[in-house]
Amino acid sequence: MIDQLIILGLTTGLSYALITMGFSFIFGVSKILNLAHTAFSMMGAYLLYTFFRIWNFGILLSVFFSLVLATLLCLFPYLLCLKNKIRENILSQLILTIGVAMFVQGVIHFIYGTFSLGMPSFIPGFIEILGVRILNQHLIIIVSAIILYSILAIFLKKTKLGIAVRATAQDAEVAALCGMNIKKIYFVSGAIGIFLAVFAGVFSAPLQSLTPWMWAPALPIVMAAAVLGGLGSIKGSILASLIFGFVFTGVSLVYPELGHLKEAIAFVAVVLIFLIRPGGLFGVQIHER
Amino acid sequence: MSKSAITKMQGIIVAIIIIIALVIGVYFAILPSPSPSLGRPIKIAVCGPMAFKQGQDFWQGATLAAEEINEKYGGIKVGSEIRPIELVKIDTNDILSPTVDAPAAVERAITIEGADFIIGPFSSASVLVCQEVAMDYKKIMIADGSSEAITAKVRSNYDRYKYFFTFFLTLTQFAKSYLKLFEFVLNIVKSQYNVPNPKVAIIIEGNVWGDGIYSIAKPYISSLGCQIVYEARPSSSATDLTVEFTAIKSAGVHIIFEASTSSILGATIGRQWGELGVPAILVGCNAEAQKGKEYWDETAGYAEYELTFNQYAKGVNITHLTGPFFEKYVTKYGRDPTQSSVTYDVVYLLADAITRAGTTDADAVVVELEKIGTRQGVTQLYRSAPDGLTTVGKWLYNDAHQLTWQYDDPYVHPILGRINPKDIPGLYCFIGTQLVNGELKCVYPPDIPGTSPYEIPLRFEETFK
Repeated sequence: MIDQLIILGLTTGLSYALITMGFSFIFGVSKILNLAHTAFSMMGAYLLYTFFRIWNFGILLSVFFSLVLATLLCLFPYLLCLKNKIRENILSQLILTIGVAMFVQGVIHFIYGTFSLGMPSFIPGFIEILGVRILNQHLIIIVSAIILYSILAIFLKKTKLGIAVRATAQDAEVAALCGMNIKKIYFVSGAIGIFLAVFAGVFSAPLQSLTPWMWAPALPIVMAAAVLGGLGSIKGSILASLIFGFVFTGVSLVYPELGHLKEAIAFVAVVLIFLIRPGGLFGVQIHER
Repeated sequence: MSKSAITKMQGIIVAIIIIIALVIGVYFAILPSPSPSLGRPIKIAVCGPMAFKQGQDFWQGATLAAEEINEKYGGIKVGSEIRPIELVKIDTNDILSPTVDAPAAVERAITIEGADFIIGPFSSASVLVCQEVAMDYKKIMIADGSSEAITAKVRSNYDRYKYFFTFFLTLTQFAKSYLKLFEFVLNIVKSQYNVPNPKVAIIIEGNVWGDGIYSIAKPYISSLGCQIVYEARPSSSATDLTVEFTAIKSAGVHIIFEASTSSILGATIGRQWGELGVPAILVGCNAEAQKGKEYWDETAGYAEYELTFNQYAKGVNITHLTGPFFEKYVTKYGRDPTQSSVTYDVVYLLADAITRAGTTDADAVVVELEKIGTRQGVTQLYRSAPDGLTTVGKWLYNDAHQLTWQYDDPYVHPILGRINPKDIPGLYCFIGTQLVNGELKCVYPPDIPGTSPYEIPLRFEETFK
């Protein structure tokens, strides 16, 4: 059972990490709590379905076009959030982003209807590791998550723009005083975060039933993982996602009859960690102004 | 002017008058007997979660019946009047908001839309609250919902709740049906693969409905000599069951008994079972799998060989009405009906009761609904045994206004003829469909025209032969 726990826990955790990274990244730089994050993933998934199953593009072209188009479409509401008055007011952000999520849901409902839709896996089938079967699509997601994290880490540490993004994340006012174009940095970081959300949606589409409501159950888990990891910390969001992955897997393996309660059990773990580390695993201390 | 000329003119006039009189006389003579005058429409509110498959099927089934009645007869005969049926579509949103949106929507149907009768809503939770609204206004409500608590109210307070009727099975009846399918597969595994005590895994949706099914299924499966080696209760929004199927495969499970009404969980079960190559047979109820071709596409074909409880399959005529209904439904809507399309029967049931009552007065129609006994539906759900022998197609409400549906009554099957349960173990009021090559094929009961043989998944053969 230990081998199953390790392998499947890693698989599940890294799948969540892919989507949580983007949420945490956007907040870390722009301080925008984007409740439409999983709705953006959903848009990516539906566009993939459209390109692949309706317009019969090949899978590679479908993935490419859905990534580009969904990212561009989702940038519009993000730009709205960047308006100073909205960005500085957390309540306005929450209302605006949840409104965007509902709008995306409504549009998808109108265009595609309510029936569940499905996508075939990019590479059908599974592989066996230590007797544990892992879907090829899961493997693709894991490899993608690792590659994306590596690219993001190199971008943030080695490039001029990446360093500017980090500087802005630490203190936007000082970064602006140093001559950095804050608006450009917000835009770039938003585009990266949204791309990560869309990427997660596109690559996990073959593992899900596509419905206009699919964004909602995923949102609390993504938010909890991001907060648990420490909002703004990519490393933290990955670690927190892994914790969720191991808790979910552990419950399903040890107490499968409590499977419908695994989210609740995971949230108990989150609360326990918060009692010890209120700022999250890698979180910055939040001071009252 | 001469006298003869006047007489001639008079003769012509008289002749014309006689001809006109004759024409008028013949016209009235050949006219049919006076037809009832066309009255104002009878408004029937069809309430359901219209954004979902279940609500759409409610609406489509009812629409088909209303159009047929209006086209054939001009409407429902009420005394000397013919009153056309006017359906009103009411979105109760009862999957997402069963206790808030649904009762408000039903009240709107009554007070603003002026509905005379109510069909629906869908979920037990919403029916429980919507019942109160309909009973306050003394409106007849014929609803879905499998919770026994719904009809218990009729029994405990008849005067208030007598306007309420159900058109579907109770949770116990559902569970028994799924277990009949399970037994069918179990017998194959025991006899053909020489496994006296097969290993069984249970996957049942983790909600109140699932709790009820689980409480009946678990002891029953154990009593059949099976070893229950794994039990999972995933949430209805679960999108990944890799862990569960890994454990099932590791435990060497022969049969997986499933029960799910959720589209998300249903698709996840069917798809990952196939994609992970789990050798165990998958059987039970998966509401999503009743969609056939759409479900095949949704699961990318991985759900092939899944066997699920169903009401309809192409070419299987449960009653003489099933075939025409199925064809009409597919022609009109481009897809197979599901169990929620049974509102088709409900509109006919209501029309029949109104005609016999000769009025739309709720108290009079209740009396007729209670007496209905010979209306044949498109499925054989509606049968009863008031006098020992039951005819398929009979409707009967018991004292709780629940449609009766029992397994142990002798009855006359429309295809097999008169049957005694002593001769055939296990009577059926449903069918089992298996997804094979993108099509839903009826495989249970195995002995009626139109069924195909049940196909064991190849991976089961390879693993357990």
